[in-house]
Amino acid sequence: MQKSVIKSSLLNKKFSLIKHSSGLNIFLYPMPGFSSNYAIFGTKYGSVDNAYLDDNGQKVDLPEGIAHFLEHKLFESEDGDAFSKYAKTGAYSNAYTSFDRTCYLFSCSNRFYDNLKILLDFVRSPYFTEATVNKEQGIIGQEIKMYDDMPNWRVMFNMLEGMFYTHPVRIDIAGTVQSIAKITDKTLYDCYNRFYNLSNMFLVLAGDFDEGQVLDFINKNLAVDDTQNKKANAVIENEPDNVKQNLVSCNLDVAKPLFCIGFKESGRAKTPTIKQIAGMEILLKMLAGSASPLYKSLLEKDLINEEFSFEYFTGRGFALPIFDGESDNPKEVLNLILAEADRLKSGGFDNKLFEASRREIYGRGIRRFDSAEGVCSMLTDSAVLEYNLFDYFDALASITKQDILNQLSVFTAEKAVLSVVNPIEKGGN
Amino acid sequence: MKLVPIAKGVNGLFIQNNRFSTTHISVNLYLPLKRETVAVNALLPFVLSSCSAEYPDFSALNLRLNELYGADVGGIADKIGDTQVLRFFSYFIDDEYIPNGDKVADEAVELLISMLFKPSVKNGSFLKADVEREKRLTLEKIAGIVNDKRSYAISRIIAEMYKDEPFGELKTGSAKDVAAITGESLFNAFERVLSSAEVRIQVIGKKLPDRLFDRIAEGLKGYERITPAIAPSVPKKPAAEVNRILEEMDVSQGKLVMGFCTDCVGSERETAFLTVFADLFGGGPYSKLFANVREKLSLCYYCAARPNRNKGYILVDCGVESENAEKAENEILNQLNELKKGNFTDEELNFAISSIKDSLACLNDSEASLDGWYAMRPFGEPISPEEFISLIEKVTKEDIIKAAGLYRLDTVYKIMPQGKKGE
Repeated sequence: MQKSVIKSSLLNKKFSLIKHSSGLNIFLYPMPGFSSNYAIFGTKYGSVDNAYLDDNGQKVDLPEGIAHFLEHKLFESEDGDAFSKYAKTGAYSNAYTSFDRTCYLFSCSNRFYDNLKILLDFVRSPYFTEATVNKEQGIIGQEIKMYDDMPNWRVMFNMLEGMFYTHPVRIDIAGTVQSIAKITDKTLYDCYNRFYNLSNMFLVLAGDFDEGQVLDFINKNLAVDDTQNKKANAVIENEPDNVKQNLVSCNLDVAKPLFCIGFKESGRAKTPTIKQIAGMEILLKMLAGSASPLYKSLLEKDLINEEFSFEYFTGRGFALPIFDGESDNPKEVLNLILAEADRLKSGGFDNKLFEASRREIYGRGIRRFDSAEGVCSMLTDSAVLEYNLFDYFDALASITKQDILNQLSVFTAEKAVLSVVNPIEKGGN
Repeated sequence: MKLVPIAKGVNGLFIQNNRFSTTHISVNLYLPLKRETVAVNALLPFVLSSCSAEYPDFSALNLRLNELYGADVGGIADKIGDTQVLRFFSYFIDDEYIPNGDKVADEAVELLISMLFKPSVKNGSFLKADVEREKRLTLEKIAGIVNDKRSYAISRIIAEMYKDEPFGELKTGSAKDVAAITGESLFNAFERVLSSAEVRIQVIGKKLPDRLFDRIAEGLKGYERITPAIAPSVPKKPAAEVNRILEEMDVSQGKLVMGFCTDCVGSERETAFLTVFADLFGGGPYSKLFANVREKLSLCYYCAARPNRNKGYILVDCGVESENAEKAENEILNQLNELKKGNFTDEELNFAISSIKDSLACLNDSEASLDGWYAMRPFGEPISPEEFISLIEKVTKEDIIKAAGLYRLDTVYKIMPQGKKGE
């Protein structure tokens, strides 16, 4: 076990990173005086890990939606489900699967160690049977149908499908009713054994606790076996740099068209660096933030409303800037974004807006340290993308005008995918 | 917590909390919820927080806020039963956390005060461009409710249940009323609101900004200050029969919402046992609805009960296949009956109580949640989360049985795929 204390002189904050002998990375962030404790036990396994190389180097494809299905089923152990164990302690518990991770979490104001024990136990105790798998297919089937009717979900996945030929980020996290029908107790065990090795996992704790005591507790209660260092060997293959389609659309029952615009940075399945993330966040804020000339123009031309937002959508093996919202004229929104990017490239760079954007993002980051949940979420991102959390704040401070200008190169018509969900024409079918 | 009287109808509340790196201020204006004023009042926070006399241009205001390390000023409108609340916020990072010795606190407070008292107006009217912009945004928000079928179904059932009362209005007011707002009518509303609203200023942070309470009282001095009586809500009159509404839409999954009413409106003691009841019925994973409708029958991904303490209703909602809608409805009613008959264990009751206690204790770790907790309790001295915990601890099995018996099914709202009526 190897412990290091990670400090930030800029923020005057610190946390401990423990490389546990089992291979597990443990992040501890004590918050004296706070009432709540928050914990995340997660694995670097999400919907993008849809294929792996077996021991013979052969690629094996997995059913779409299996990581999410596994998350649902892990709540059940042979001695009852985790929800009923947490019910006894009063903790709030949940789990989620995203593109590049699966996380199990709880928050509580008391009985922290009882809750931690439950978390450490059930995530390490898979129990899948044919009957429990069948039962879950009905519930997840309803979850999938719920997302099918959510236009903001559809518009984003249509964009990803338009952007990528093969990259698994284009796959719906929950899969489809057809793909989850292929899941069996055996495939779940296979995936569990491959992706839930402690060396592929992380444990993040924030709250009012004593570090030494927590570490002792983990050492006593974490089930470790000899398969821990088995490699997950997930593969995400590279694909062309060009987008598959520039325009994708469908119809749903919405009031006005929804749009989602993405820009393809690269076909290579690459995880962004922390400097790249910080730079693009500042750039997006300058380009389309509430103080930008573009935002003012879009709003005054009635082209966007309060639904407008943007993000640097990043994860293990992917990174792309995204804009979404509602508009009667999504193509014009795209044109204006491209025109504004060109303006910034050719002398329109505003130093005042650059500095203000940097400060806003810094301030927003600082505020997240005020909650145990915010801290755990930031540390989880850093664990999955494998960077030092504090480097993010240092990177924000170090980004230069030239960095921003370099990152602007992605904003071209060829790299863009415009996805639109149009209203259903009334009176038709 | 003790309210500090500042002026007629104006109170201050300071909750000192040394754990945070930010200060959170809200100025809350309470008014009786009336059909004829709900829309015009509700637009005020949006227009006022988008610009001011000092920053007539919203981009310039936003740029300044970004420069203050993401300090924020903003406004929203909400309903607390039969009371309307207009909420204005400012939150900012405390100066000690700002790099290079910069300071933001004083200016962020100044922006809040000028947002309230120095709006961008001309000749007794807000500027047309500002009013029309915010009207459009509100109208599009109203039109967009339909996009998310779960929220849409909930907004529709509330409108149906309370169609004869102001509470049936959206918190933005109706599209028709929003469209009719002018720069003049909004300015009249501004003066009327500052003259007649009951005001509560709440501050959560390390210290109370200098003279904040006094300065807001001074700002209000120019107005007449007739405080209207805001009062706890009136419960819904029992309906002769259950109102059933079916809407067909182009969806793949149906939605079922059931509205149940009681006569209990807002006392903390009643709120405590109705909160525990709702949690046991359809709150956490140990609840009757989760355990039976989802886990046992696999009918839904979600099936939840949400109480509204101010109007005393509870909504149960789920997403369900059309052919299973009737089965789900029957099972929901069946589970309510089980609770009425006392068919639940002490252990299940304790699950609900400890879960609620735990999440209430966590409120102290979020400035925004604490602010919301107090702001939603405008009638007299508000109870703290800790005091409410002691009421939750006292809830007994008999209270739950009694609570279950108080609910009468009022309205059932269903959205089903075209051609499938879910019967």
